[in-house]
Formats: sequence, C-alpha cells, structure tokens
Amino acid sequence: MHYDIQMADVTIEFALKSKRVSAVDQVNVTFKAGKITGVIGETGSGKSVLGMSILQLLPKQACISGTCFFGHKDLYALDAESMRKIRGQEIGLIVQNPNEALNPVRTIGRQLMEPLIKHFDVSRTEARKTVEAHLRCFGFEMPKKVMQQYTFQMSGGMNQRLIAIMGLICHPSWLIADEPTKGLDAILRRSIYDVFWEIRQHYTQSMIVITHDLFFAKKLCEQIVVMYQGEIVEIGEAKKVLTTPLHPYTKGLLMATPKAGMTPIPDHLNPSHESRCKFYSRCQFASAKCKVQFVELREIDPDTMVRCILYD
Amino acid sequence: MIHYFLKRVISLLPVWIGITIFAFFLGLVSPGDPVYLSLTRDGITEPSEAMVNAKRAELGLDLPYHIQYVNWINRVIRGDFGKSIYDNEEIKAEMLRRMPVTLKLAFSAFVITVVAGLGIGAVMAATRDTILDRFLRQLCTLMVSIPGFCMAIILIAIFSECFHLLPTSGMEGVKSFIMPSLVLSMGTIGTSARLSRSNFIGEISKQYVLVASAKGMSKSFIGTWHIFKNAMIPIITFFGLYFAGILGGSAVIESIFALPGMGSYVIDAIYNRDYFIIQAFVLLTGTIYVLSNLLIDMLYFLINPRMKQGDSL
Ligand code: SF4
Repeated sequence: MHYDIQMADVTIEFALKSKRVSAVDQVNVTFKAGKITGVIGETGSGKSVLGMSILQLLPKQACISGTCFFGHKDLYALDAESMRKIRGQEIGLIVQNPNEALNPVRTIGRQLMEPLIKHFDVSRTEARKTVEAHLRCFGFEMPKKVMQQYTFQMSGGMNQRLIAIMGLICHPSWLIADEPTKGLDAILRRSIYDVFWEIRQHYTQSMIVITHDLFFAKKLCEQIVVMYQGEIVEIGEAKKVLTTPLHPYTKGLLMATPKAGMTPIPDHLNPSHESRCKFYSRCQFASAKCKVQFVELREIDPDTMVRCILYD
Repeated sequence: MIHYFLKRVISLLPVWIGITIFAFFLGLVSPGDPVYLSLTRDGITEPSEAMVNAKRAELGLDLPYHIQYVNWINRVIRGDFGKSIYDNEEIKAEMLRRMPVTLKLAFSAFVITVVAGLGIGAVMAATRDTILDRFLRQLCTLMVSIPGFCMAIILIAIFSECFHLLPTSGMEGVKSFIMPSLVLSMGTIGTSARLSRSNFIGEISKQYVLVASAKGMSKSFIGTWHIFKNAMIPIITFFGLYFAGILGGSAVIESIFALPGMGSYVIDAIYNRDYFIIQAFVLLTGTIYVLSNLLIDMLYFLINPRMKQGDSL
C-alpha cells in the first residue's frame, strides 16, 4: 500500500543558545505517492530540514510543530521504536556527500546487509544474496569483492551508487533524496541521473528529491515545490514550473542557471520590513500593494499554487 | 601484516638501543662509588686502595666506558644483570621473582583504565550536556588532579581503616591488588575518559551515523558496531602512552602498599646506590614499554582497514 505524505502546518525551529531560528514556516504540502516531487530552493531555504523531519533525523535542537501523516500515522508523533521501523523499510533516504556517507571502518557488505537483517530478520546468507543481486543491478560486476571492501577503496561514482542501494535495499515505498547532485562534477551528475532513472523504473516512483539542481529536477521530477526562507512559494507540475514559472523567486532561480546566463537574483532592492512577503526585499515586481496585503499561498488551478499578490 | 610488523620492529629498535644507553649511563652518572659502597656494606670494613682497585677490576669498572657498555649489553642480552652491590644477590633471580607482581599490577591498572575510561567516556557522550555528563566531567578532572599517594591514603582510610575490607600492605592475593591498581589507574581514567568522550561525540555527528539511523538501525547497534570502532582508532594510540605512565607510576605505588614488585625493589636500590639494579629496572621497564607499543601498533593495524590498504600497496 502506497500512502501519500501529507504535511500540515509544519513549522520547524532550531533552539540555539541565544535565539530560536526558524527553518520551516507553516508549510502545507502533500507529496503524492507514485510521483517524483522535487523540492527546490537556495541553501538555507529549509528544504533539507523539511525532508529530514519526515524521518525524524533532525538534530536534538529542532522543535517541530504541525503534523506529517503517512497513512494514518503522524510521523512527527511516533516514538523512537516505531520510527526506526519506518526508516529504511517504508521510507528510505539517499544522502548527499557519498564519499563521507559510509562507515570508513566497516565493510560495505556488512553495511548493506544490516538493514535487511534488522528489518526482515533474514539469515546472513539470504541477506548476502539480496545485496549481491542489488550490487549487480547497479553495475558492480564483482559484488562479492565489493562487499569485502571499504568505502575509501571506491570511486566517487561507486560510493554514489552504494548510497543509493543503501537507501532502497529494503524496498521502501518512499525514497527521500537529499541533494543527490551536490558538489559533483558533470560526469558524476549524469551517472546519478541514471541511478535515479533505474530506481524509478525498478523500485519506486514515490520520491522526494531535494535539490538545487534545476536541470536535474526538470529531467526527473513530475511535481515541483519551490521553497524560499522556510515557506513554500510555488507548487506545480514540473514542466510548467520550470518553463513558465509564476512566482518572481522561481523566475529568478531560472534566470540564475548557467543556460540562462547566470543572472543572479538581486539583493536589497526594497527594505524588507515593509512587507509581509519574505521575497519583497529582492523582488523586481514588488509594488505598493505588496506592502499592505497579506500574501498567502493561493490556488491558481488544481495543480498549481503560488504565494504572490500578482496572481490574486 | 608481516611487512608492517617488521617495519615497526625496525623503527622501534633505535628506541630500544637508546633505552639501553640511557640505562647504562644512568649508572655512571649517579653519585657514589659502587665499588667503595660494595666493600663497605657491613659498615666496619675500611677497604685499602688495593682492595678497591681489585674489586674495580673484578667488576670491569676500570675499563673505558664504551667497552663497559658493550660488555654490559653482552651480559644483559643473556639475561645476566650482575649481582646486587649491596647484598651480593643475583639481580636476575630477584627481578624474575618480582616481575609478575609489577606486571599484574600494571596490567590490572591498564585494564581498569581501558574499561573505565572508555565506559565513562561513552556514557558522557551518550548523555552529553545533561547533569550526569557534567557530573562525570567534574569527576574526571578530580581524578586527574588528585595525586596518587593522596588517593592511596584516602582509599586506605576508607577500605582498610573504616570497613576493614582490604589490606593496607603486603601480598594477600587478589585483594592486595585492588587498591593499588585503582590508585595507579585513576589519573589515566580521567584523561582517557575525557578523550573518549570527545572522540565519541566527534563520531556521532559524522554522516555515516545519520545514514545508519536512516536505514532503521537502533541506537545501541549504531553505538556498538559503527561508532565504537571508529572512535577507538585514535584512542588506541593514547592507551599505548598511558601504559608507559602506569608502568612508571607503579614504582611509587608499590612502595606505598608494600608490594614486593620491581618498583619497590628499585626504590630500595636507589637508597642503597645499588646501581646495577637501577640499570636492570630501567632496561626492563623500557623493554616492556617498547614491546607494549609494538602490540598497540599491531592492534591499530588490525582495527584500521586503511592501514591494510596502505600496506598492500
Ligand atoms: S508579493 Fe510582491 S514582493 Fe512578494 S513576490 Fe509577489 S510581487 Fe514580489
């Protein structure tokens, strides 16, 4: 059974020594099962925090309010043991920095086998077989040898694939990928795209892909959620959002890609305190109306929502 | 593996030779003439010039220093440390009798250091920034700062005088080792616990821990199978150094608790200017230190797969 992931009124703050820093602000979104949703935005937009909160993998200082329903379970309210059973088995995670993501002193085989043994209580032999099959599927020709090796003996691309296998080895219905292309060169980016295509074809189509790589998002995703300073500013079908964006911020993001000439989003156009819109200080379309009106996420059509008074 | 072992042996050899030279010259520079001392040990005899010279020749102490050193090494390698100047007993026999006591003491103190140091460190890391963590941190500071002899007195007061549980001195089996090894390990427990704490905490924030949790592994599993081994690698090296400290510290502790080990033997020898014994002691503890370092290096090699990789290249 594939459930949607439904977030309602999600606010996440970090309690630092002197103050509370807000990372996610009143987010309402549904990630539909069977669809790849891309969450895009700059670093610090709260997109990774949002993704990690689903698996309760945020540091202790994080205070979460709101709900995140997965079927009839609120993932935010689960106790540690129930959460542990969801992780890897129902919702898997593919992390960034593949070269640092594996334990340097534990063999790759052990690291891939342990979730199978933990979740399904299978024998070591069975676990080994499953791992071998997955390794082969992801292009490792000598799985037995790889299983006895360590992460530092692998290339970047190999670690990448290993991290992907790690996330899906228990065949979870959902996968969350956190910045899978961050810090990678062009060749590796292409290979990670192939990896995700493979996952989509053979494992699961329900994915949340957190990325700032618009090109990658466009190729892979069906739905796009754009975040700015902890708020969702636009939701829509991937093709539409990434070709004819509505929100001024999404437009700015697209202008900043290498293809469009890398025009950066300007800063300090307007004094930020004048408007409730968080993008006001950088917005080229800002008008007097933005100062007075309360800016909400509004439905344009059943698939599209945007937070900007231009579309009222 | 063998390749690495030989490499370590070769690199430790100069250290060992250094220790032998040091041990030998320690005897030479210490005040008092051993020949004169050995002839006057009954307190009555006043030796003549001729007697002194004859004795000096007998002990080979009239030869040039480097020849004396070579002769000494030659004998020592065969296990002959000479005789005590003071009571004319074979040093080798006495050392063999006393060595097990010292080794038992040092090893039990070392085991306590490893177990308690890692244990307290792990507890502090797991309960980081809570009251328990803060309390244990203070305790560690306290353990490092109380001198051994002071701690010995406190423990004797509590366990011997007050509760009559443990003997204050002498050999009464295992019981006699409890307080001395506790006192001996206390300082190193403090430092190693703090070191372990920071290492464990450093590892907890690594990404592989997040990945392991995301796979649905339990906290205890991650702690034992992922974090522990990683945190151990840098700690192991330090334990090698602690062992040296414990071995050196055992001399004082043996004297306090009147344990018949090498340490109390050498302290008596120092009072008597019995310098062959001092030489033998320095050499033996130095050798034990070198060997334990070799052992630690090999352990380090076994636990750290990156070393094997480097070795096979
Ligand atoms: S509400 Fe106004 S300031 Fe905000 S994005 Fe729209 S136009 Fe720009």
